[in-house]
Amino acid sequence: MANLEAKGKMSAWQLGIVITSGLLTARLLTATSPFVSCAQQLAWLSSALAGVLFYLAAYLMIRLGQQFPEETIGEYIPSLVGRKFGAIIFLVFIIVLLVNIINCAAALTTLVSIFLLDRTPQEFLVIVLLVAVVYGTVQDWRTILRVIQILFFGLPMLYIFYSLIWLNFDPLNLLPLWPDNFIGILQGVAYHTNYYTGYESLLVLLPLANRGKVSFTRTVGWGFLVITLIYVFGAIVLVGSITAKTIASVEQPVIYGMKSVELPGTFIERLENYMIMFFIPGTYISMVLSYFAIAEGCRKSLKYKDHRTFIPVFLPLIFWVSVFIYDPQRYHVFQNFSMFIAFFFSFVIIPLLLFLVWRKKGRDQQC
Amino acid sequence: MDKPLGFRFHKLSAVQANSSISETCHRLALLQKQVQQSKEIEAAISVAVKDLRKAMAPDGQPFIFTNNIEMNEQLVRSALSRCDDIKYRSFRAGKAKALLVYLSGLTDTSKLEKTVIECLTGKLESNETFGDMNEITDLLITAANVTVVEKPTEVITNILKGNSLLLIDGISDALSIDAAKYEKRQISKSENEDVSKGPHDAFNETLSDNLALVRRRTKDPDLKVEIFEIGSRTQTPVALLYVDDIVKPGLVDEIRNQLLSIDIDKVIIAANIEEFLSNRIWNPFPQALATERPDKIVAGLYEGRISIIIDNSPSALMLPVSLQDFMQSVDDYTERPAVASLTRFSRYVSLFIAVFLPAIYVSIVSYHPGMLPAGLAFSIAELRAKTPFPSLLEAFLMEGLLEIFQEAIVRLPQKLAAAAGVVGALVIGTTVVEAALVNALLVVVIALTGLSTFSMPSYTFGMALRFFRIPALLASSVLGLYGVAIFAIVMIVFLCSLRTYDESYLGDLFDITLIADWKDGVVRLPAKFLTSRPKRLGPKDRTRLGGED
Amino acid sequence: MLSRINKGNVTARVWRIAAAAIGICACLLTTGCWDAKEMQDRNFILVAAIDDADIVKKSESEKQIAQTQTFVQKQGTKEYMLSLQVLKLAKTESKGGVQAEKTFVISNTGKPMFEMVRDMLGQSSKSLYFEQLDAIVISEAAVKKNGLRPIIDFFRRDPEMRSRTKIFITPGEAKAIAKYSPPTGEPGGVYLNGLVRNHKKNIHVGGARTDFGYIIQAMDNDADYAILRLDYVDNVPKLGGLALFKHDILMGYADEYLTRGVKFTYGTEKSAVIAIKCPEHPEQEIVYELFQHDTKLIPHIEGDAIYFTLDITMQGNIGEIDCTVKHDMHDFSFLHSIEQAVAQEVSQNAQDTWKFQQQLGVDIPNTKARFKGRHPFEWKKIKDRWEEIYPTIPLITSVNVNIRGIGEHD
Repeated sequence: MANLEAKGKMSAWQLGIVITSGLLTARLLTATSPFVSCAQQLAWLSSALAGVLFYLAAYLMIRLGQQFPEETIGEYIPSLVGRKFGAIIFLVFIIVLLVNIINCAAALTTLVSIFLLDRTPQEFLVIVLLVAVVYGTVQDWRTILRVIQILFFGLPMLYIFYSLIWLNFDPLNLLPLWPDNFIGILQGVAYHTNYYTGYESLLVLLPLANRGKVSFTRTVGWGFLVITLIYVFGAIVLVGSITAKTIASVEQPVIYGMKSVELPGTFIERLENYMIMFFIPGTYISMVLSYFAIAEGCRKSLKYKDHRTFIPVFLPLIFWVSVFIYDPQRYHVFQNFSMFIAFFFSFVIIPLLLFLVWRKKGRDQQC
Repeated sequence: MDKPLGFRFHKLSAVQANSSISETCHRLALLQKQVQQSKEIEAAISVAVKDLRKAMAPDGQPFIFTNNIEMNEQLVRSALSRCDDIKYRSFRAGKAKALLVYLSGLTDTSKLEKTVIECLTGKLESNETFGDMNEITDLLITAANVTVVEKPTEVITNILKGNSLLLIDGISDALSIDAAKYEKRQISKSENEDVSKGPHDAFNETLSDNLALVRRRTKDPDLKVEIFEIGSRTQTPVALLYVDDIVKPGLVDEIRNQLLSIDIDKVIIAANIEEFLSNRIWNPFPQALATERPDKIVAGLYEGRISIIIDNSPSALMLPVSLQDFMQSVDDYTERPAVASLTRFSRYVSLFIAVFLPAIYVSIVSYHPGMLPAGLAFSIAELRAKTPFPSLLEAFLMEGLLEIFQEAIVRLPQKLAAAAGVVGALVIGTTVVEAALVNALLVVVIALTGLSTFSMPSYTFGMALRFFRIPALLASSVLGLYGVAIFAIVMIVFLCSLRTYDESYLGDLFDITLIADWKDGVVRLPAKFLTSRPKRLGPKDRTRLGGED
Repeated sequence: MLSRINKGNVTARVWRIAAAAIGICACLLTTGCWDAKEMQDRNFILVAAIDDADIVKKSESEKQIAQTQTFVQKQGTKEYMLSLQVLKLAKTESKGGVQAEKTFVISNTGKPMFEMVRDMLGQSSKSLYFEQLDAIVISEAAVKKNGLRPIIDFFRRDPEMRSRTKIFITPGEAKAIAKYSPPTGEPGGVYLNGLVRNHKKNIHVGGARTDFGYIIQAMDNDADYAILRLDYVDNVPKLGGLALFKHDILMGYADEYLTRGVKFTYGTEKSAVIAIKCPEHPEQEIVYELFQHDTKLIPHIEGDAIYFTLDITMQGNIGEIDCTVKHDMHDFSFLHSIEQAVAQEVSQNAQDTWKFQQQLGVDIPNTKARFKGRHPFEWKKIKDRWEEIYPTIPLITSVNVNIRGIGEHD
């Protein structure tokens, strides 16, 4: 049965695709306006810096995971920081992923509710989306991997539609190139937690990948590079066609940008509807990945047999919070909380853990 | 006679004592009861006799053969009682009595005459005796295939297969002579899978003919054929074919075990076995490819698949199979690669249209008419202003009409089929629109959907797509394009979760580790590039073209 | 609860499955469809026309405004009249050769547009659907009341609206334009939309940056913008000229000549026609047909002086020569003189337009953004005084005209 077993692990390139397809979700739509209002016409620079920063976070996570092959984060944390703190950190990890799922659900259903189905109650839209996500998450990893590889093709389709905005491009809108608000650019980077979502699931997915000739850092790096380029060119074209000030005063600037494209003489109208359709696969993948990472992480750390046991545990919480944050004020508070916790986990906890590993290794070598 | 001749009416029974009707009836009833009882006693006795015989016979056998031919004949006759198509021919073989038992209709009697009766009656002295059946088979019988059988169940089954039974007085063994000949359908064109340029011969219902068709296409000694008998009553021969040095190790064992563990009483069609080999019973997609074409079977065998051919069924099964195999046709390989690639790609587009086009129509018309260009939107609105039904209902109406029409076409006799085509075109096409029941655009949509379904190379697969059209319509009528998108995702997850013998149902579609296999997936690259077998089936020998032997 | 049901208890399991199935079916049948509305159950709005209610009131034949066109409200006044052109779906028979009308108009008066629209549902048998809105026509009187912003805010905010809806300013009555039924038989809104599509060949019509999306963008960026002017006289609509806006207030009109200058500055037309006097026969005209056009408008600073340079390069053909005397087209000096004459004409046009805008205080070529983009540091110093500086900035033009062809038949 040698052949059948070899398929159990995914290759490094598949890991790259998995992480890449989880990055681009509908969350970025609501975050574009605040970030462009900070960074103005240099939004692209903000996106580029954010890409480098979040790749650094992913890189640290991969290095951490490589210290403990075959183990997920829930399993090796107690050995680093003790059981109590380990449980707290694992809980933070789960919260980060839950926050991702909730934000994705809220962003996607808000988008659908405004542009496609304005009288349908949003609770219903959330329920339908969660049913589909749960159906995806209860499958085993090989199925989910295949689903991701299929839905990954939504990404180029999305970009093909989005690139039509170039038709309205006016280079004047990108000037002046000299940044006079460095603080604004850096503030814009903070909003990019909505742009690079779901890579935290690496900590659970690394043991599922086969170590081959290609290193994970390289494949994930390529993925981040592609996504960062998409965002950089996206920022350039968006600001170039509808100006930074317009973006700052519009709720969903990317959709607004699509609305401004008219292709007379073709069959295609209302391009924003097509674009919303192509956001759904990316958001779905990110939600399934995060949910699977939670379930699998819990399963491995609590030594259960089946990850499906943990799926109903978080479902009511996800639904309730997704519906709760429809109020603009609550949404704002929740966004701040999401950004804070994502940064805290990626840039405080992970480096700390790496430091502890390095110190432990140093001590072990001395012994 | 001293009574006067007067006219008086009396009962006959007053004159003759035993002619009372009531008594006659009573006696008749008794007689009937006794006949009934005697029948029951006969049945009980035959059961008792069977049991008695069983007590002597080994386990699982109804009786045991003795040295006495009359006793043997009696035993065989009682096992095959009331089967009037079984013929018994007794003759003398030397000194001993001999009996030939055969099923007329399935036996070649002229062959029996030549190879058995003539040999045994003509050439022997009248006082010759035999000690052993082997003497007869080695020296006298000229038939090509003879088997000495001891077990009576085998004997009975052999007779029912068309082989004949030879019993010799004094020998307790029986001889089974292969002389089966029966009426069968000639090798003809495939009914459902004919192609424009490939070979036209198709499987018929005879297992030996089908195996011959496969063997003719390859002279490879590594092509193994294992024959089992499945079905406790029908004992249908089922052949398992595979190429030993190509197929994935372990796959053959698994399938063989599953076949042998099938415990049903009858196997009449290939689908009886196919259902036992699928692991998800409610899944509408077929998990084994049923084909009537030997070239498809041979091509599959050489990719590392396993084939199962069932007697009395023109459909042979091929496992494991993926969605791409249902989307392939022999025409892809007989046409030029560039043209074939385009055709194949268009088939995938048809797949999408067949499932989603009515759903997209309903969602755009009811939920998002802004997505249509202005002129089209106005003209469609004008068309729809005249028709009474909401879009979901009229989509269901047309869908229902299409399904009824499809079923009617299949059942109609040949002579009426042409007329039915005209009626269908008129009814579904023109008249429904003129009666202002549905609008013309919907007719176009439904016609396109129907055509896309029919363009699927595999009929079963097309039926599975029909199954998914309805939920797609419901999803779109509830939530518009969002519903369609969510349904599409759920359908993709469902397809990805299907697995046959640990092979994903989607094959190498969208799996980048199997990127080497994409050359023969959605497109068909020229044969020069198809140098290796598909990686996903895990074949042991991957080189196909060039390379070492 | 799941484990408590005995496996052998088939009846209970069957009931559970049946209940779940009924529940799901009930959900499907009773839910969904909040948004399902058949296409023929929507009233497509093609043109939204906004007038000043006072003027319309005076011109209506009735003494007072019809009751159907007003409603009782506690807040707000009856300042605007909103007329919506609705598409007729049922085909009406044409009587006696007269083209059947494809649209009809419903009106209402009030101030918030949204309130008027919702009240108009009382006049409409189907819901009003704005996704196919082709044109917004606003009368000059309506704009002069409170500026442009209150009028278009509803159209800005609603997600159903399209970004590329055309917007027009008309000196007369907008409702009359909404009632217009073109002789081509198409609906009025589609016709108006189509009128703008020829802007690339008609140099008197500005169409490149004048639709709804661009107006809103200019508003967000606090820039000045121009809106197309639509005249409607004797039942014939004609596009020509621009209405110039600053801070949402109508400052004035640019006529066809000045519109031409604006287009030369922007370089947006694909094919234009420039008529000049023949160099040798000043009473005759020669027409130059432009087919390629590159423009650069660049700010410069020298010391304390700010000036803009406009470099125009044109490629074109000789379109028409009206001289009675035949000219030799192989006389390159003559062609050169035509080129010079065209260049002079264009340069003069650009200068006149520049001066006109400076006088009006309107900055259509968006010199502010150009200056800020090129010289951000200097901009910081002078941004508070831009309104004073702008009227003093000179424009230095340099036009280069090439004649590529002389037509098929000389």
